[in-house]
Parts: sequence; C-alpha cells; structure tokens
Amino acid sequence: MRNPLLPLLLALIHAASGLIILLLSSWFIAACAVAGANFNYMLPAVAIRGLALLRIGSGYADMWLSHHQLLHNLAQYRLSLFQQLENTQESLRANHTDKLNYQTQDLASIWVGWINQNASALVSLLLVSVFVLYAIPVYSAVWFAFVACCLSIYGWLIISGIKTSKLKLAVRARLESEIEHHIDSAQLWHMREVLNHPNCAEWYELQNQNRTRVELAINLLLGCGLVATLYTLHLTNTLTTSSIITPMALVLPMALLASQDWFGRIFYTEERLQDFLVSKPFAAGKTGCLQKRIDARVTNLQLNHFNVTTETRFAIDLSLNKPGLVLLSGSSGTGKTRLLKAIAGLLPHTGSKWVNNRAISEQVILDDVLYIEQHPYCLSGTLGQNLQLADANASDTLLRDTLNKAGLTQLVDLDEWLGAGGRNLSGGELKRLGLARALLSDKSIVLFDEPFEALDPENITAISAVINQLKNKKIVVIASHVLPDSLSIDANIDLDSHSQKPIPAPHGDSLTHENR
Amino acid sequence: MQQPEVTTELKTLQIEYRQPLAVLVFMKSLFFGVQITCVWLFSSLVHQLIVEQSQYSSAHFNWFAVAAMLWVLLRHLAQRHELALNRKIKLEFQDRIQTTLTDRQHSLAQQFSSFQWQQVMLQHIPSLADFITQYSAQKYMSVIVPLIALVWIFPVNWLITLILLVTLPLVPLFMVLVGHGAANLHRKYFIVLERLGGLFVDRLKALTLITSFNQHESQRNLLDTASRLVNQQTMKVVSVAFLSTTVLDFFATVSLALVAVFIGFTLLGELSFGPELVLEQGLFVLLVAPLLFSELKTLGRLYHQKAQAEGAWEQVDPIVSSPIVKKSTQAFSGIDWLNFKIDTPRLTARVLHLEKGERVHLQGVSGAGKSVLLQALMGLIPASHQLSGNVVYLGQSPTVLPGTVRDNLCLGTAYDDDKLDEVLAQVELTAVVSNLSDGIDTVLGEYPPLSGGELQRLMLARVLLRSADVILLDEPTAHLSASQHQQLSALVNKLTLGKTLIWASHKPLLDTWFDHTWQISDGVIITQNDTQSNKGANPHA
Repeated sequence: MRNPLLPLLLALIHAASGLIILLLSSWFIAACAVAGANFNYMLPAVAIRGLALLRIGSGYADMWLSHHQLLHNLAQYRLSLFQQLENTQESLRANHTDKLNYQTQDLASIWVGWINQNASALVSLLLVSVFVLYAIPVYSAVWFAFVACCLSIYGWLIISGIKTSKLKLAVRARLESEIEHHIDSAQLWHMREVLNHPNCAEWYELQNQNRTRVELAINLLLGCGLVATLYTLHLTNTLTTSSIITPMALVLPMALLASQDWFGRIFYTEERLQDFLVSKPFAAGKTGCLQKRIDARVTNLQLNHFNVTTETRFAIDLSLNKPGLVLLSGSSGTGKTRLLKAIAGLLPHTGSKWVNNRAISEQVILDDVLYIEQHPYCLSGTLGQNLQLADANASDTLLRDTLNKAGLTQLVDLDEWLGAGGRNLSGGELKRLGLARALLSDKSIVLFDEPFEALDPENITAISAVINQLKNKKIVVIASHVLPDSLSIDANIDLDSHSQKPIPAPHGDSLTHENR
Repeated sequence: MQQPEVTTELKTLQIEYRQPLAVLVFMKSLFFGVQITCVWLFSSLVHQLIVEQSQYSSAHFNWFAVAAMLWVLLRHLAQRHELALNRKIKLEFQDRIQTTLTDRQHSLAQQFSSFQWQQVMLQHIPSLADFITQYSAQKYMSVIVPLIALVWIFPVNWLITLILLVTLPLVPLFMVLVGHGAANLHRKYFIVLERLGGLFVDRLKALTLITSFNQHESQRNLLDTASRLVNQQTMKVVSVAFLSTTVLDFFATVSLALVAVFIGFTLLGELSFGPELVLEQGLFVLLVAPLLFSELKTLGRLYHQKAQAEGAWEQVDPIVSSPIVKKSTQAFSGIDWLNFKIDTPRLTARVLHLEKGERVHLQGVSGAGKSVLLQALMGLIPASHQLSGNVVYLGQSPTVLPGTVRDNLCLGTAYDDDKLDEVLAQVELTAVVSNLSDGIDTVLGEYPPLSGGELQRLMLARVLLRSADVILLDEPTAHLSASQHQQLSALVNKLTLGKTLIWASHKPLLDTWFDHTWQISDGVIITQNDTQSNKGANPHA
C-alpha cells in the first residue's frame, strides 16, 4: 500500500489554510477599520495572498496524490482478492462479481473519501481551540461548549449510521433475493389471481432516513453555531463597558458562523464510512478456500456410486482408462453440469473416486481433466489470449490451425479484441471456442457440457466430427440431452432412466461400465 | 456518443417534475435570502462593537436571533420537502415499472437478467430521484444564488459587484474548457480504459474457466499489467479533470483574498477609488462573496448523480415508456382474424383462424418468432389482435418456485387436496411425489429432487389446474432427451384433448394430433388446414 500520509498532510493544509484565510481576512479588515498609524498592514495582506496560493496548490496536489493512491490501492485490493479466489469451486453470480467490484472501491476510497476529510475537520477544530485558549481565553467557555456539541452530533451520526447500515444490508439482501425469485418465475405471473411485485419502499425509506439523519445533524450544527455566535456577541457586548474591543473579537463569531463549511461538510462523507464498514468483512475475508490440486497425468479414473454432494437421487459408475467417448444423456435439470464439475473436482462429491488407483475422498481439482462449460466463457481480451489459456506456448500457426479445425474460420486476426469492448461471439461461436480450447489443451480427459445445445443440424454434425476425431486420442465425456446421429459413442449413461446401457464399442473394451 | 440523446431525455424527466422542483428551488432561495439577512445583521452588530466601541442596538441583536431561527427552520423545511419529493418520485417510478411489468409480464421480465432488475429497482430508481431532487435543484441554485448575492452587494458597493459580475462568467467558461480537455483525453484513451478497466469483473466471471485451465497465475499477471496501464492513463485524464475543481477553488479563494485585501486597503484609505466603505459593509461583502462560488462547488460534488441518472434512464426509459396493451375481457369464442400484425419484431399473417376446441401445431426454426407470436396472443406485446378469455402458457424450461410442491401447484390460489391429487395422478407424478420426504409438502429448493421430465410434468399439472380457455405451449420438451420428449408429448396430447391449444415445437409431433399447422418463416405465418380440420369444429353445437 502506498503511503497515505502525504495526501493526508496536503488535505490538512488545504483545509487549514482555507479556514485561516477566512479568519485572518475578517480580522484584517476589522483591524484596518480601526487601524492606528503604526498598523503594519503589508504583512497580513501578503500572508492572505500567500495562504490563498497555498490553498489552491495543496488542493490540487492533494486531489492528484489521493487519487493516485486510490487507484494504486484499488489495483492492490483487486489483485489480492483475485489471488484469494484462486480455485474457488463455485462460479460467482453477476450480482456477486459486481458487488466485489464496488466493495473493493469502497475499501480503496476510504482515505480520500472519509479519513482525509474527517481528519481535516477535526484538525480545524483543534486549531481554533488552540487559538481561543491562547489569544482570546475569555471566550473559552462558549467555544468549548460548542466543541462538545459538535463532537456529540458527529458521534451520534456515526454510531446511528453504523446501526442503519446493518439494517440496510439486510433489507437489500432480502429484496435482491425476492426480486431474483420473482423475475425467474415471470412465466407464472399470468396464472396468479393476485400479482404482487416485490415492494422496495422499505429500501427507499431507509435511504431517505440516512439523508434525514445527515441533514438533521447539519441543521443541529447550524443551530449550535448560531446560538454560540449570538452568545459570543452578547458576551462581547457586556465587555464593551469595561474594556476595549479589539478586532480579535471578530475571529470567534466568524468561525462559529462558518462552522457548517469547515465542519458540517464532513457529515456528507459519513455514508462512505458505512460503505467501508459493510464492505470490509466481505472483500477482505475471502481466504481459506484454496482448493487442492493433483497435477499428475490421469491414466485411470474410476467412479463408483459417484455423485455431487447436493444431489441425492442417483449415482453413476464409470471407468475411464482409454481414449473413447462416453455420453451422459439426460434432460436438462438432471444435474449433468454439476456431475461433470464433480468429476473434474470443481465440486465436492459422494461415493468413491479413484485416480490412478488412488482413492480420493475429499474435493481435489484434477489438473489433467478439462471441463468445457455449457456456455464457454469468452474472456475480455484478444482472440490469441482466449486460446492461449489452453496452451500458453502455442505458435500462431498452431492457433490458426486449431481455429480452422474447430470451424472458427471467420476469426482470423489473433489480435482482435473479443468480449466487452470488442467483438461479441454468438452462441455457436462460443461452443466452437470451447472446442478449440479443448483441441489445444494437452489434458488427457475432456468433459463437454451440452456442446450441441441450441445449434442447428449442420453445426451439430460439424462439431460431432471434430469430437469423433478428438476421442481417438483422449478420453471424452459429453453431457447432452441432444443425441446426434453423427456422434460415435462408445458408452451411454442415461441419467433420465437412471440406467447405463453399454453400446457395442468399435474399440473393444476401451470403456467398461457396470450396472449398479 | 449517445450522451446528448440521454441528456435531452433526462430533460423531459425534469419537465415532468417541474412544479415540485420549482417549489423546492423557491424554498431554498428563500432560506438563502434569510442567510444573507443574517450575515448583514451580523456585520452590523460587529461594526457597532468593534468600530464604534459601543453596545450594539438590542433591536439589531433581536432581529439577528429571529433571522437565525428562521434560517435553521427554513433550511429544515426545504430539506423535508426535498426528501418528500424524493420519496414520491421513487414510489411513482416503482409503480410505473410494476404496472408495465404486470401488463407485459414475462415478455418484459425476461428481456433483462434478474441482476439487471435488481439494479433497476434498488439503484436506478433512487438515482433518478436523486438526480431530480438534488442535482437538478442544485443546478438552478448555482445560478440563482449568485444573482441574489449580487443584488444584495450592489447597493453596498457597486465596484466590487462589477468586478464579481465580470469574473463570475469566467468560472463556468474555464470549467467547460477544462471539461472538454478532459473529455478529449478520455476519448484518446477510451479503448484502453474501456477494455482494460472492466478486466477485473470479467476475470471474476471467468473463475471457473481459469480454474479449469489452471491459469490463475498468468491471469493475475495480466490483471497486474492491465491495472498499471489503466491507472497510468486514468491519472493523465484526471490530472486535467481536477483542474476544473481547482478553477473553482482558485476563484473562490482568490476572490476572498483579493476582496479582503481590497476592503482592508480601502478602509485604511490606501486605496481611494470606488465608493466609501465601513467595516459593516466590508465584512458583509467578505462573507457573501464566497457564497457566489459555494453553490457551484456543491454542484460539482453532485455531478456524479448526472452520470448515474443517464445510465439509469437508459435502462428505465424503455421500460416505463413501452405502451400498455389493453387486455380483452371477453370469453374465448374462437378467432377469425384478417391481416394479423406484430410490429417489432415484424410478424404478419393474412388470415388466422381457430375455432373453440381446435388444436394448432406452430412450427418454425429457432428464432423464427414462435415465442413472440405466443406472447402477442397472450396480449403481452402490442399486436393487431389478441386472444380473449383465460389463456394459460407453458414455457420451455420448468419454472420452479423455491417453496413446496403444493406452493408450486397452487401459486397462491387455494385448491383442495383431492383436486391436487387428481392432477398429480393425471400427469403420472403420484408415485414420485409420494416418494418425496414430505410428499406434496416437500420443499423443492434450489436443486429440486426431480428430473427434468418430472419437473415439466409438474408444470403441466399446474396448467391443468387452471381451467383455461386456451392453452399455449412454447416448446415444453425443448430441453428433454428424445425418449422423454415422446413420453411427455403423448401425455400432453392425452390430457389436453378437446381443449383449444397452440403448441409450438420444432421437435417432431404427430400430425393427427392437430387440426391446423401454422408455419412461421421470414416473418410470415402461413396457415394450413389438416385433412380432418372439421374434426372439432364445433364441439358445443
């Protein structure tokens, strides 16, 4: 983390110089108004102009350095978060990734958004206190009463803010889940006699309560400031009978009258603190999920009565030890995706799993098993980067060859940017991208999740042909509810009927399977 | 590029709330007027104390106390009005969106992900409300407040007024220039910022892929390099953008400093041009001059609300401005439509004919518009005609609520157990459901303990429970394997005999099940009558 103290110091200078200009200027004109002959007016005049330049300069430098620090911290938080999420078993949902994005921002912006400003306001309070004690001690009582009010309002705002922030978090989480379920069941709405949409009024109300509190705090501060100003003037008024009123008497009422500007301002930043406190445990506490990996070649993978832990209905038996093609057929919703992930070790399993004749009881990711998603993810990056994920050292010629094999002939420029901010691939192109990655990869076992779904017959035939070739070299497992005629299957496990039917395989006993 | 468009549309939004906004701006101006009065009375009191070295007039002091109270009170009232307006706008937008959702149902709901809907309801609506009540109001205030201040200062000192009047327009001018500079720089780095800026979220979404290929390390290095580059270029852009704030700071600070020095020197008699000054006037001008810039500063603080509202409006406007389709309330008695038409996406038919009790096989390749036609028939999207009566729809993939089997069947309507047992028996789920841990009251949860085919049969039971005039089936077997498709299709056919039915499918179905075939190709629906088209022509004759 970059040293945050320099921007903090600059912020303090910026705030303090602003306040001092105001107080010095008012004293200066009052002094000028009552000036005697020997009043040295040049020095304060120069000081005022100097402070003005100092304020402008420190303001810009503070903004620049603070944001430099913010961006640096943001990058650091994100990198360490990404590192912590290594090998996480479950893919993150859209609202989750978005949240992590905002949470890292909340964490990184605490200095520029809250600490610097709050520290500045408190230091200003301190500066005036010191001045009052030494220069105009006669006003000490009223000033410190005002300070006490300031700090109580400030403390109340922060404590009650932390309380509401917890409530806000809970309400938001509840509404998010309500909206998600409601939208997911949109097809049922027309069958309901009464259709109630989730009501977000409570969320809106909480937001407004937050603002009501901040505005109330500012009004209270304004009220205290005005009462203190009135009292100070009254006190000065009583002093006129006994002593001469110097221009110095103007300083305190000025500070009180302007207290909104140099202290009340920070009340608006209070929400930043709430965001920070809410985000901290989420973004910082993502440790300890590092999964084990086995990097050995998998020559023999045995699954007996194997299943995903969340699934209890049926289990499969499967033995993978020679190149060939196994089809897990079944309708959508039978849990094929999670079953494939469990085979690759991306999800925990039940039953027994033997890798190279070694029993694996816990969840271990198998490096030599490649899982190709139902909707292969296209990274926001160049075409080359998207393919080199599978083989970092592949030459351009090999990459082009593979693109041709996978039928992605329309993509020629390896430096073309794909995904966000570039070209978006169609569903069919994504399937072929997954296929191309599988072809490039040197892994022994490839698991395809629904490679034919939502494709037209020509595409299905073309992809089948590529897979038919691939299975001569590798062990291929396909989960699909579509069963193309052109695919040469060595074994079929029908998950719908919970039974496994051996299909006479041309490769002899390359695959064994037992009915349970 | 799109921004000017969104901004003009945001203006229509402001016009919609013009009246309460005007009230808000008036209240804020009023409290500002009181604030200036306070400052004037304060200056006068200080003048009496310091320059005249006498006791102040107690009338002045009392007026100051009254004005101070009014200041706090008016500020409080303006704030309350602002929040009430804010609340009203949020609730009105929620209401408008919900009305549209009730009207368009899944034809609208499915256009966006549930994540996007969460954003609309929880973020975009508040953004729009904040834009109107805070940003828009502040925009007016940043013009009105300097004017009020100048009007007050003018009789006090015309020279300072003149100087301020000349410098004041310089502020927005410089800010616009700086803004353009920053925008140009941003455009220069646009591609890098756009592509690499989103890399973190992108790689989070790709975690399964990265884990599967064991590429964490290389992707982390890539993220590191990308963030360095993005930060470098962002700093270049913000270095210029920050000048905008600095310009304001410059004018606010320098005007304070120069006004102070000018007033001081005039009071001393060192400067002799301009009208005569006393401390009362000098202090007043010194206190009011910064107010000319403070409202602009606040506007700068709220500037992000504009960008947020633009993003929000882009998403919300198409929802709230989509036309409401009037629902027909008559009972279904067959259709005999000429020149049926849907505008977007374009779909037409010269003739659509369907008698009560007849069955249609709707055909067409994926994406031809089968689902669109069914939605139009339900009256969910604008079309020249729509079905009347009670229409029930069954979609491709099972829609399961996380509640119990019973909840999923009833959907809030009370049905007695006999009725539920009867439909479960019809769809051949009696054994499956009784095998569940709590029978019909088993919670299905996120991973229902039923197969895809079983779930789809449960969905069919739900449809059968609602004695519908017309049943619309949108490829209910699309995600099923071939054998399951055959089983379920036969069951659907058996259970819907004698009912009016439109069944979209590109998987094979028996011709003998249907009276008509509607084929969609190239945006045109071609109808063919099957040989036994008069089979169920008039079952109630």
